[in-house]
Amino acid sequence: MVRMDDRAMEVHKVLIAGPVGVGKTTAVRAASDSPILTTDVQPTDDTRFEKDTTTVAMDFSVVWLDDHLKVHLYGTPGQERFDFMWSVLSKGTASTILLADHSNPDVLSDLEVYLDAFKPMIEKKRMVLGVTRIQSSDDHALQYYRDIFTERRMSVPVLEADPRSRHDIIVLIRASLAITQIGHPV
Amino acid sequence: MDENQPEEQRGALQFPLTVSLTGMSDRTQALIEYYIDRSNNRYFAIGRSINTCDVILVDHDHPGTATKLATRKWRAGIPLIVLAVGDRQIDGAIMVRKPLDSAGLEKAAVSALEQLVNNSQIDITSQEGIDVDNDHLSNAATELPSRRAPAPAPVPEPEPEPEPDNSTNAADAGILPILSKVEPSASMSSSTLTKMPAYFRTDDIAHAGGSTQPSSAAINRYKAKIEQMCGLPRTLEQLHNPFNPDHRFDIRHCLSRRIASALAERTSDLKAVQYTLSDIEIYLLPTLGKVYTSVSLENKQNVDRVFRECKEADILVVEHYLPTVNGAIARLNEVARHSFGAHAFCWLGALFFAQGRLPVGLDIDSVCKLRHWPNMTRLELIPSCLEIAAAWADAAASLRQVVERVGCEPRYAASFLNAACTIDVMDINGPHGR
Repeated sequence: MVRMDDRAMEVHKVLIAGPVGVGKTTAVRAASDSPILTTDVQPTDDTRFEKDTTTVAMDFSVVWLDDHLKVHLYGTPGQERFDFMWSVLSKGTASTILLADHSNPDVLSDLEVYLDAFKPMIEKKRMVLGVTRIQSSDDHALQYYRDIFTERRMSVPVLEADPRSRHDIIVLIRASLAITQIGHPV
Repeated sequence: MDENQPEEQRGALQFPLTVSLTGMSDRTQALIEYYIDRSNNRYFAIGRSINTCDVILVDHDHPGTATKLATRKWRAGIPLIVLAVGDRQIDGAIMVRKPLDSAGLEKAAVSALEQLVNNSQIDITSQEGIDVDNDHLSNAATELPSRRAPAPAPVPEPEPEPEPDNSTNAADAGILPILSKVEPSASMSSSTLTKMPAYFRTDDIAHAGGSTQPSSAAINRYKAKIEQMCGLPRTLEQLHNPFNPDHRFDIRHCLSRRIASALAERTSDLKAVQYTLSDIEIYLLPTLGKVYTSVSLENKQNVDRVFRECKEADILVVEHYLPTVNGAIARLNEVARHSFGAHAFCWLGALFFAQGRLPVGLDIDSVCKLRHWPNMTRLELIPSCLEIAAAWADAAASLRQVVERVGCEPRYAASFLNAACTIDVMDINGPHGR
């Protein structure tokens, strides 16, 4: 596609993180404007009872938000034993989208692992939370997560998200870039 | 060949049709291959290449497929079978409803064959292994590049013609299957969104950076839609004028504000509330967090009647307690045509009502702060709304300050402010105010 304009091209790196099975690869795939790079393999641990494949290194795709704004979207592996990849992938990241599975009864303990791991990103106000698998579009589910962040004095936008929906993932990406831009104006 | 066989009836092409499975997960693909292998091999044969197949079969619910369908990225001129949850309709596509069964695939095969026969763009006479008896097809242009080697059609066992499905389709009857049938499921979020009229989707332009550029007609439609929600461009000074009715409105007449208030009040008793505006009925069901309307809000006239022209005194409000709630639900089943998330409805109504104006009593220098982000994935997006939300969530600020900080048009900030106030996520001159 030919892109002609005087405006300079902006490229941002956005990370999608979250526990196993929350829909990170699906989200990367849904938002993508290009073939995605995945490192999915057949799981050998307990994950094999939950799904057929799991990401071991990263997912990658390119998303055009407009003619001058390109996002390199990275998905992290979910298993904690691959957590070294989280810090590798975090380098140079403009913002992070954390996904939480609301249908998981243990969602809070899952979330805590990521809140600790991505604390610097949260402190810089560069993270949004996408809550997946909400039974109905009621605000109470989202309020649960808002309260968690309020207790921890963290400022994280909480939005409902379906990882299969391109619209939802694009809004999450845009929201994450918006808070970064507002917090750190160029 | 038995006269009951579909191919014999149509006398044109032979089964099996080569089908290419694409736009679906490996699991779904394996499942369909299983069905075809075990039950439908008379009708379909799996083809590996999309360029040489007779039929393409995709899974609408697989990520990215809907977008590709919308942009028609698959080969033109050959039948497209689309698997989808619910009674979805896509122009020109043969829909197969999930859960998948062999009867559904069989019907789709027959429809695909019909399309192939009727498609005058395909020169099937040049292909081997295909019988043609339609004269008009013989001169048509070739579009199927190469086909399978001729294979004798298997002689199937005679079987009765499939029973036509004469059951009444709720959607055909113009009645949305609400409540039990449209109850949100764990995976409903996106489907709820896609069920919303296309009119309300603003991301068509936002996606312009993808592989497709919006047409000028699409841009014009988008501009008109934005004007309907945010009004015409106006300066901060115009917004500042508290006495000009072109830039100010009376919040008492804002229906969505009333519905939002009712929603907040009904969180404990969960009573249903019915609003009647002449011949239009609107139902708020706090239990479900949903609003149902008896008219389409894709229609500008209806939007004006519901949100802009209706006065407080014109609205008949009935609260339904347990004794009457069943009657209300029965009525709702009868008249409801469209459903919205309650907050999404109030947000949208506030945009339509205010059209970028400010309410009387609110100043562009009044300091406001978002208590929390609105659930923007489920609300109508207006230009710069995410940056505006970020600014008002980050610090208490006046409308003037936000406009300067974000660099957006004042009408967008004013629209956001109105809508955020309506769903009660904004503190005005509260703890953060001056």
